[in-house]
Amino acid sequence: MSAETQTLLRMNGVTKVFLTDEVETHALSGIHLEINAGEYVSIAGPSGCGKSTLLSILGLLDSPSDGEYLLNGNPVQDLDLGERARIRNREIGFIFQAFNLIGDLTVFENVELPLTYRGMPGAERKKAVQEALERVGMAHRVKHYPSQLSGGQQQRVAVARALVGKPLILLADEPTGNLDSQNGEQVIELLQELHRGGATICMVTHDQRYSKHADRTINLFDGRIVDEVEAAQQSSAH
Amino acid sequence: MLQDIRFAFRSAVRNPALTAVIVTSLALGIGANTTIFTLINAVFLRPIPVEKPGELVAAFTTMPKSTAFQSFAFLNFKDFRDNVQEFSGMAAYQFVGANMVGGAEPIGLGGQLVTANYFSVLGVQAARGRTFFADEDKVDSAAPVMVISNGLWTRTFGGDPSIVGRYVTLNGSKFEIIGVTPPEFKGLQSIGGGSEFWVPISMHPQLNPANPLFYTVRNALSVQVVARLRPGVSMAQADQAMKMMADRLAKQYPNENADRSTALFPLSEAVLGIGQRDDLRRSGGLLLGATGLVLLIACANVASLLLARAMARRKEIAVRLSVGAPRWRLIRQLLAESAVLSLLGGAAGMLVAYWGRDLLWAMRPSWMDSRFLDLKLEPRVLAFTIALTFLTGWLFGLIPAIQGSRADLVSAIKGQFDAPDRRSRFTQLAMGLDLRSILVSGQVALSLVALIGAGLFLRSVQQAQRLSPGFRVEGLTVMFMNTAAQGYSPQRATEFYKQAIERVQALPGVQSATWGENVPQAGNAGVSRRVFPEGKELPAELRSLFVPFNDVFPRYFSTVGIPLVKGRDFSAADREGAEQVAIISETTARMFWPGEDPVGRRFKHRLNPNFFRVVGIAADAKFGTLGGAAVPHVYLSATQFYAPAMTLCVRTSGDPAPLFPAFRQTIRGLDSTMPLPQPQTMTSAIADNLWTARLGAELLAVFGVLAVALTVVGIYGVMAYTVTRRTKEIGIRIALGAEQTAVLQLVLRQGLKLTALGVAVGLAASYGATRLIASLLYVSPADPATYAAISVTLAVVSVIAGFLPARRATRVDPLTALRYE
Repeated sequence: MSAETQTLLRMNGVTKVFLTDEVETHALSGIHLEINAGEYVSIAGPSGCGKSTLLSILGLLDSPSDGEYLLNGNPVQDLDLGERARIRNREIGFIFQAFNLIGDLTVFENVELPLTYRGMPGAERKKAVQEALERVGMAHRVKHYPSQLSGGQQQRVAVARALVGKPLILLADEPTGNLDSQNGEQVIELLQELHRGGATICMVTHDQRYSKHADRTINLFDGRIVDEVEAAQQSSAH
Repeated sequence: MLQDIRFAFRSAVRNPALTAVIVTSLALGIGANTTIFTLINAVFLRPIPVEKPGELVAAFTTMPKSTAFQSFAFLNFKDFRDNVQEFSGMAAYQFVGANMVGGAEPIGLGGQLVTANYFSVLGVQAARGRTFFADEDKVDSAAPVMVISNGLWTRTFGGDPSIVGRYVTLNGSKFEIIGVTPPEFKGLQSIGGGSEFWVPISMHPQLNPANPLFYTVRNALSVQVVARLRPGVSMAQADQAMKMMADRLAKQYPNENADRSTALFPLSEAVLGIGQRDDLRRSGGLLLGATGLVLLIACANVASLLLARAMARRKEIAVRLSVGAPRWRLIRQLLAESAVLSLLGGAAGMLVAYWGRDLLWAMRPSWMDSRFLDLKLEPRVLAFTIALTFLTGWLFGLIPAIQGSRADLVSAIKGQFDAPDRRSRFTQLAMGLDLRSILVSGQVALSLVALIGAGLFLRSVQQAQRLSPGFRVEGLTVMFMNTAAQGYSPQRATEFYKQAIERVQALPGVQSATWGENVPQAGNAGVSRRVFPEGKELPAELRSLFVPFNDVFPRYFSTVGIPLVKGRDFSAADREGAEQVAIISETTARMFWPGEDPVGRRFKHRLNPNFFRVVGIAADAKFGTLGGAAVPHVYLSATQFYAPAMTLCVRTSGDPAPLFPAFRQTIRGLDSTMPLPQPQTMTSAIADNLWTARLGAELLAVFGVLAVALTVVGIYGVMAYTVTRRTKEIGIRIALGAEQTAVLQLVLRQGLKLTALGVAVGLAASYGATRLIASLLYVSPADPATYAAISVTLAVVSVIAGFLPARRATRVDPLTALRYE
């Protein structure tokens, strides 16, 4: 990694502890992590190792119990709910395993959703939504409802929703988890294409077939980073 | 915002079943409230159609140790009017019945004798023609002019544009119609006393010939008084000035005015009837309370359904939050959804109110028509419904909106809704995860209150029908007639009464017929006087007690069916010139001659210099409310004292209804200009008198049933939701060998717990709330039978409501359930 590369995300000693009645569960312990602009990072590890918790904190869906988290150079670990919502809306794009499209909204409206919360004028929204849908090859289905689409198509729409607001980073949580291998491959190809276009991507997956496409893979175990593998190393390992 | 509303509409359309249940619930709640509000509006809120009503006061005569508010003696009124400077004007009016010939048919009318300044004090202008000149009440019989109501003008004269200047005969005398009032002005009684004409009080010899003393002595309290405060003068200042004047009059005329003082009330209160306003307010409060309960239950229901939907939509809400929706935007969107639902509910509620108003109108007693009460759906009612609609939108929408917007993002996004909640127990509690259960228990409690109210009124009606009115109801028919209003002299009237008795008695099926000025349960036309037994010093409370006097013809007691306990009936020998005789009721005997035999004793009243000898004692009959305590009553012989307006009482051997045409024909045969009498059976008169109790019972029963229906939906909803949420748990239990009955019990127990809690709270609330309506009931507000029956009924209904979801739980397939997400 070159020194002049801009650091987009930095975590210093982040921990996450869940308190439920008398049980304390340490989901993350002493996480130190950096992700640079334009980088494609994969977070891997077995079930229950803390991958999704880490991604939730990265995406400001959850907050750390301790430690520091800098997004684009600004500390974000202690922001209030409103500020976090604003950052999620403008700087982060999410892709979920279960697509999480809203069944009562059309494809167009689902993709438009983040922009409506931004207060963007209708004409601009329309243009941006159209562009995003074209990028994922779903522009011909704007009036469809999610239930009228296949799983792969739904995930493409979800990707369009994630990138419509031109976020700093795309966070993908097991984006292929609910798809068959063919559709899974297509979504991964789409992410790679976005990456080639300059997008910063952080993807959680436990499937090595997909993590190898990343520039770097961070391996988690029991809430700790146990290993980091660069792309060159990954190819040599395989 | 527009987008929120659009989405809200689409969401309503895409969930038709939920929308239908919510809109129906709200329509019933809002509709019931609007219906009752039209009544409240008509009775309490519609401003009296006069100029600056806030400046107008009603004045009453008071006496120590008496809570009654009496009219003024006309002569006293003149002194107050001429001497109290705190008013810019003071007017007097007096109700009078009259028969009018000159319209389409001879008709009986209710109107008022008024001072010439009546309309100017009220600030009411004639819509056509003029009102009275200032000097038109100065000289007796000199101004035969009348102002008529808009209702009379349109109904009887077909809205004749040349009405002003037309002559009619009123009580046998010619009167010129000089003006028509605006449509909204019906006199100063907001209900029950609409006036159809106004005549200067100087015309009393023509319209009230039987009571010349009303206008010449200070003993007769005969006119009602309304006055306008001068600008800047408070009611307290005016009250003080009135009381000072009363003191002066007491010194000047000690015989008549010694104990008298005055009281003032804002006219807006007085128009409800000073004696009735508390009962009216209580009744209004009761009805609004009952419909309020229905609305609350509807809102609880809707909140409960929306809460369930918010739970079902947690994932959607979490997605919206994850893409950066600020919480307030989500709350706004959820509120927009509830606002759309409440708007639909409000619109449907207006329809319900439209039908409800017609239903309410159909429940009115036979004497009431639109002259007395106008249930218009006017702008104020519309404003009420709109306000109610928005209020309910907030009420049922806010909690689910706030709760829904607080999704646990990480779990919700993954759809892990049965994952252990990662928040502390305190947070869970504070966020009210059991809110739906609380809402259901609340609904049960509110339903119980509504049902117990209905039950108490139903029992009251039953009880009232069982109460003995003190006379024989079956086979008795009554017909009111006003001979003075025909312009009859006392001699002609007496002749008319005698002939009517003879002819009606000759009809087949008639056992006996007679006349009475006042008949129990059939209206009160007589006057009340103070009774002074000969040679007795009365305690103060009896000295100021006004006892109803009732002029009756012989055989009144046997015809009406009031037993004579002692002494004799009146006879033809009790004629004018003979010794003045009276028959008193048992209560009168007990109060004025305690421990003595009053028969043969004598008493006086203030307007007659001679003594009356008591010749008999009659059993107490209920002239007032059926449930009320017996009040004293004095009967005089109508053959000695002429009464201008009397009620013909006819006892028949069978059903009297087929004889009604014959009764009318007989009267018309005696005088073709007499307005056709309206015979009424005593059974129907009593039903009319029980109108308020019956209406209360019927309305509360309707609202109670509505409340229960809504609660059943609520219980069903919560139980169904619980079963869905617990499907996996139930599947595990079944997989581990739980039998059907065990699963059934598991689910039903939860429903029963909610019901038991609701019943307990509801019983306590009912016990407190029903105290407020005790005076409207004929049974104890804590009637244990009612409480027990309603509680058991509600518990059974709740079990039934919970049974369907419980049975569904027993059919859970463990294999499917364990895969269930």
